[in-house]
Amino acid sequence: MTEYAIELSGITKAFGPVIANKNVDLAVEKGSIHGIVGENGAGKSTLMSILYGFYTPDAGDVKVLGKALQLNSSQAAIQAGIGMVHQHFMLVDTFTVLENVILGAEGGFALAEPLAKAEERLRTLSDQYNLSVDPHALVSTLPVGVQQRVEILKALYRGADILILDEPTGVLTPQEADQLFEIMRNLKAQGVTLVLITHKLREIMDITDHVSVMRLGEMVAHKPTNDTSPEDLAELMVGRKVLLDIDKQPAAVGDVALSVKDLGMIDDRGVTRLQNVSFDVRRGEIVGIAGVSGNGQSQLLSVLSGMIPPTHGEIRLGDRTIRSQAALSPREIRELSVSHVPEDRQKLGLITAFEAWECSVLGYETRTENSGPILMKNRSIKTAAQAMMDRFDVRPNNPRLGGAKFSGGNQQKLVLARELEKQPDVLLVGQPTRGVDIGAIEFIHRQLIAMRDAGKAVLLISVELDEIMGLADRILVMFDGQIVGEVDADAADERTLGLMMANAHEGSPA
Amino acid sequence: MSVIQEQDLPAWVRLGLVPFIQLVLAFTVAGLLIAAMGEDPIAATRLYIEKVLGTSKGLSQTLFYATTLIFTGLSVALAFQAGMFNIGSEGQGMVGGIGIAIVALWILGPLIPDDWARSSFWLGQIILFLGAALFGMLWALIPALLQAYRGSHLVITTIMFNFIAGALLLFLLKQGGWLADPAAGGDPKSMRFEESLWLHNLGDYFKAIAADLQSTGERPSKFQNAMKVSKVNSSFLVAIGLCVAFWLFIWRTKWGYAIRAIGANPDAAHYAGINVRRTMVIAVCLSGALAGLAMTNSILGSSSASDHVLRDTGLNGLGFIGIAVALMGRNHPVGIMLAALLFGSLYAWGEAIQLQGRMFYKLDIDREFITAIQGLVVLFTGALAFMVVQAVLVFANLIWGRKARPATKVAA
Repeated sequence: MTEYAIELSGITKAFGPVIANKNVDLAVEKGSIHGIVGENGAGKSTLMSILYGFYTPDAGDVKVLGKALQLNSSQAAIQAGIGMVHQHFMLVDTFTVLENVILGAEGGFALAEPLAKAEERLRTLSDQYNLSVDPHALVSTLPVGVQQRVEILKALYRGADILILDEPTGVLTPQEADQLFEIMRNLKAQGVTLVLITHKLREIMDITDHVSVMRLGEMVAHKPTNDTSPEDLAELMVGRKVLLDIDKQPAAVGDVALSVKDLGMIDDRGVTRLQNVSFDVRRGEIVGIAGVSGNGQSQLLSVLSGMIPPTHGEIRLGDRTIRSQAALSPREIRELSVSHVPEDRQKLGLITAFEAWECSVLGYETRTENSGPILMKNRSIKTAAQAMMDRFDVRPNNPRLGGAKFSGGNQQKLVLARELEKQPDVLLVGQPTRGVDIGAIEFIHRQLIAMRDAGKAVLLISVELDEIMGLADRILVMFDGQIVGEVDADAADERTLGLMMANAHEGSPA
Repeated sequence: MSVIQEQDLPAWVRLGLVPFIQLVLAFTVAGLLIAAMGEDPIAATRLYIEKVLGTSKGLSQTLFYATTLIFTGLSVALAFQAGMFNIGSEGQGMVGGIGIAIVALWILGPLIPDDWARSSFWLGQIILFLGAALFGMLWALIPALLQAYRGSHLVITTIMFNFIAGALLLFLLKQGGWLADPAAGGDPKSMRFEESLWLHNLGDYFKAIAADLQSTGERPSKFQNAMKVSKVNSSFLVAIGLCVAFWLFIWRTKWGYAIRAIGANPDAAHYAGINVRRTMVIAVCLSGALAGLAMTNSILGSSSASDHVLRDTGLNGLGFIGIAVALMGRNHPVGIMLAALLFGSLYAWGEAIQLQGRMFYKLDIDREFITAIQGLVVLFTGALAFMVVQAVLVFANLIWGRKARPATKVAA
């Protein structure tokens, strides 16, 4: 009989009205590597947080090594032998490896003796699992791959025989990832059970024994890895949800309104976020950018809207060329008839501490229709805001209400109203329907189509494939800061897109 | 049934009842403290009511201190609107004072013809206000730049700049210092400013009336006599004017919009195209200017014979109390005026305790005791504010909670 390291049954967890995990079952064989795949927001992280004692499930049972447990703190999880390697490392940069490893397990009031003991154990562990790390090196001086090794050692030091790795390769170079896989195989050979959470299908195929697929909070499949294929998994991940029916006429495409050439962006920490990005958006078309989130789409939107200067390449808006050496501010970009519906309306799109009418001029507050030389034209702004809210059906339609008092969908309509009513030549839209209810989704989609039909160039970024496929006329796929493919919307299907998003399709740059 | 939250409470409860309860609690504890010291809290209360609230002298002292506190309260509040915590009003006030001394002694002093010396020089006074504001602003500029472009925390840098300002002031006023009065001996103070630069003073106005009346043989009324000692001066009018200007600037101009935007959500402000760093620097500089202006009341305004000089005491801590005033006044000019009056009256109380406490009220309390009361007021209106709000919410839910209230969130 197979022995299971982890058995979850009927796990349900809701955050307010959002159900993150719905009746989830999972069984992980002892001494195996088990992969869990799913899109962002599919509920993988919530499930693992439940397993690690961060959240208590609303319903369901957790069994570890055959024993039913109440995991209501990470301490309890550690005692049960579960270790977690987080996507973002939980290390103290200014401590040595040794100090980090014993952190939280110091084992005595005076440090000196445990430190010496700990070093001995650490060396034993390193030898046993072939994880070579200098115990006296400062963590801040170590490369990312080695820091991850420290995280693994930390878990092993606490006696973990079940390791959860949350998107472990997200921060690694391909070579470091290969080393990590080597380590994982090693651990498995020593009898450690590993759970690998990822959205990269290739990793699943490479290293796991079994794979479970999550979608929209539910577990949709459990399979032995040998019996499956990337195509199969992509289909399961993305699902065959019925497309929201979006009525639209064939595009009447005009001249190029937005042209991006060889755009590159390296962030403050020296990580390349965008590389060789080139594309055109013409009047009267919607170009959709698909991709698993975190592959540079947000950065592309930030660069195009002027919030982050590019480090390379150029952007042409109409007949104006913006080079990376002389980037424009968001306000200057806006003056070139570009509107921007940001991905995160609460963080960027509006100021929740402001009233709706004040939010209705955010970014446009210095224009002559909103402000005289000294005083703002508050009365006419309020009147205009009222009209705007009526036209976009923002409820409640009270411009004096605080921004925080509107629901997500209505906040989004307020942002859309502000940006769309300027009738821009170019419209940049990020995640227009994230966290928005069905009724508002339909309305927002109709508005975006109307913009296209009015001859505006629309660039749409969304992690919802349905949305991209329903709205866009052309689809570009981003992976790791690059555009890895272009598909005509009519020719696109979810499986090919899913594969391109995971960069697992044929002929992809490795 | 919906649970009543703080923002659902009617305005009279939020802005009237809650602060009132907080103050009652603060004064109750203060009374207990007085009793614990073996003194009579009732007598102390009587002294407050009779000598501070009940005499024109007490009231004019209250207004005099309130003037400085309005300036420093507005100073802290302006930075706060931009999400910045300026603890440096004290130091910025000191440097504002240096500005006043430099303008008065080095620039205007030599310019004023002798026959003007006793008449009022309006333009000069305006220039002094500008000088105070400019120097206060410059002292805030460096911490502001460090915060905006180097990420040095404004709280830390402004605290350090307070110490530097104190040392600078002493350096300039010590014997042989550039601004020192050579005749002062070891007393660190500047030369006296020309009388024509002194601010108009309510007391002087009533003294002139009394003199007029006496020359015609009439006797001035009791009120007129009492007002002769008033130190309230024209900087009070400036402070009130700045309250109106503050309101207009913050809530009616695009610059105020930008300041509030970076204070509430710097990311969204950046999205909007507001230059977050520059706006931050501007807000802190204006905050420094307001702190600098506070010094006009202290050294150009007062009327006793030893005044109208710059001393090393600066704002005497009123810059720090500005933080409490802004906090209690919820960063709104109306609230700041009320809070400044309250704290001003506490200072007047301290003076009255010292002058009349022992003789007329059998109170043996040091005037410094008001510091404890100030602390209690800050404790109950600031640090423990939530405690009272919570208690009020419990009652509000008992009284109104069962009635259906209009939902504030409506789904699409």
